Amino acid sequence: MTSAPPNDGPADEGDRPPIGAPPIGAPPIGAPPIGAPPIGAPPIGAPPIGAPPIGAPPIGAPPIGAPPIGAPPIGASPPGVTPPGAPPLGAPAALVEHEPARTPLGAGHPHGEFALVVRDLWAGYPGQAPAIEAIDLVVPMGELVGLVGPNGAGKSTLFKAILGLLTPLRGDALAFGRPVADARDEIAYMPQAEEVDWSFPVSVMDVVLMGRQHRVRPFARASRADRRAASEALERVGLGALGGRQVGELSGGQRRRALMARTIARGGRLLLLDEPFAGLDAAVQHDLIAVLDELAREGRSVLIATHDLSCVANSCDEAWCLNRRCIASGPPSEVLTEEVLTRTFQRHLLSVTDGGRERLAPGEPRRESGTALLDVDGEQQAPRGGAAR
Amino acid sequence: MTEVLDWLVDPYRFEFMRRALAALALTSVVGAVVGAFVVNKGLAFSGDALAHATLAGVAVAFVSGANVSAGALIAAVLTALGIGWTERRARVSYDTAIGVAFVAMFAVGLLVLSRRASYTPDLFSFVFGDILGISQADLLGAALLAAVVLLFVAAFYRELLFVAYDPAMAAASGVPVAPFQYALLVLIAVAVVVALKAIGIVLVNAMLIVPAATAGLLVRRMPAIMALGAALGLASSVVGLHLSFYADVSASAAVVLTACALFAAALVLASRVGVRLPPAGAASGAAGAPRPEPARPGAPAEPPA
Repeated sequence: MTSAPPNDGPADEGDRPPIGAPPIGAPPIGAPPIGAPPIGAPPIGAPPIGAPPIGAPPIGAPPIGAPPIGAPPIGASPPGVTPPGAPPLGAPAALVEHEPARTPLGAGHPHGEFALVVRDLWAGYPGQAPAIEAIDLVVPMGELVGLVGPNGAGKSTLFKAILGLLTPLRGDALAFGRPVADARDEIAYMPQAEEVDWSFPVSVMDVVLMGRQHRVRPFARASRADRRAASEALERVGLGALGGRQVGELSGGQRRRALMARTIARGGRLLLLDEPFAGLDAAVQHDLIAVLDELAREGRSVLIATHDLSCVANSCDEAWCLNRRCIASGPPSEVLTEEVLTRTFQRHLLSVTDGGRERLAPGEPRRESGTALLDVDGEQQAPRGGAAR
Repeated sequence: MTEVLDWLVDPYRFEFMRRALAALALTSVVGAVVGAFVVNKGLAFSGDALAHATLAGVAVAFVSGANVSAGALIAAVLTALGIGWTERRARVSYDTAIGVAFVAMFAVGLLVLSRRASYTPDLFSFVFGDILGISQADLLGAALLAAVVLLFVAAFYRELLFVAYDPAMAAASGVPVAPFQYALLVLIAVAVVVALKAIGIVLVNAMLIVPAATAGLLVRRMPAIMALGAALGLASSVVGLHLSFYADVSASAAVVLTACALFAAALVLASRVGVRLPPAGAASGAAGAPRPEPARPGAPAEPPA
């Protein structure tokens, strides 16, 4: 399943994004040129760019705004050789709309192009309606994927179902082409900070070293390599001096950094972060996003559940809007629109993009304030676990 | 000087006192090692429940003429597994499930014993502890169980810690969470049985809770809590035994009261020391920008969120 090459060309068939998500690194083929109307972009609520059902032939005629004819269609590459962040894939640089922030893993990477593939996943708790329904989701190698949705939308449930902490009612998740249970060494999970017992008498270093635990090994103690990885991870998140500190003495921001250090220290190639920025001030959040960006540039794939839409708009390669079901997915600039967000959050949010259709030119630093949101419907609360549509 | 030494050493001229001290030493070490988890995971009530549940096993074994300690062990382990199962499955709260399990087991014990009322004096040694009546065989059995507990914790310390601290990530990392959660409850059950004959059903939970809780007020890392807890337990045991020897009071009560007095002292000490300043140079602000720490003594450090 994972080896299915991503197909190009916009497609519009229903609400559920199929597995063939956008090609890694390569700009979406249907991207319109700067300033052009977004003809090639899929309508709101549509699947990510480029996604006819698996096995469908690549759509022949590229739509308006597509790269010059003669560029090899991405879907034509053999499985496993596809991705390459190679600009040479044909899209002229000037047409780049969704510019990958970093260089993904090169072509021919043995694990294929998706770090994570979730297929028709349903999960929930006993005696209740499913908390998430029919989730199809992919995390391409080397990309930051932001998962947004209101409280109760099922973000944490989705993470737990992906990881097998909650037995899915239906569907499954593959990491690097293998069932998640067989790929745990490659996966690092950061639970919400509230789920961790901060009063426990352990030091920050103890916690980070837990990330190095891979399986049950009697009488094992942390090796020198474990300690080095833990120290490096602490340095990266800016907690280098606090390794000996009791976790309970950390501030809220430091606690999240410590958990992120543990996630990094694990050395996995797929990181699942549940609300890593909740309750953080802008400066700390900025630092952590920079760390995530760095990780993605190293070729790691990151799925972040967050409430912070501006983080997703500015820093993520893909956005997925979740409210029990997947509402929309694709490049943040296309997904985080007023209509999608209103449907996702079940209240009226105004998406304010500067200059109407903002397009990023290659080489241009990522813009601040890609999308800012105004809540124009103050009192009405999003219903917890409310139906998506 | 020699009088003091004599006063200290005299009691141990008797073999029953030496055996009592050995039994209490085992209890102190096992109690602190398991107790460090019990206290920090908030499992104190589980410990009490497992202690009381042993009465069912003690009573059945006693009436049927089987080995009483073995009966206690079986009852405690079964109850531990039952508590673990309830925690994972039931829709009732954890405390409620423990409360039901423990009164049920205790009532079974009472019911069985009510048929054989004439034997109650011997049974009192299990209910209230009979530290001076510990036999060589009792000691050997306790040592064996203590060795099993310590070996298990030594082997799986990292796993137990990981599962206790953050079960979600432990599971996501491939550590089997449920077996280790059950294992911790069984460890508590075994620790209870190690201490049972010496301290008695009613007070045995104290040896799991009090020394580890005292140590937790003074030191901040699990291994340190275990070590200091064992030392505090041992100190309480020696003081308690002397009190019992010279003042002719119940040894188990004297040991437990001494431990509680140490806890109270540590409580006062810890509140006197107050908020500790973080070590100089420790960064507390944004990455790479250490904020100067307040230098005034007693100034509050950055409050934990």
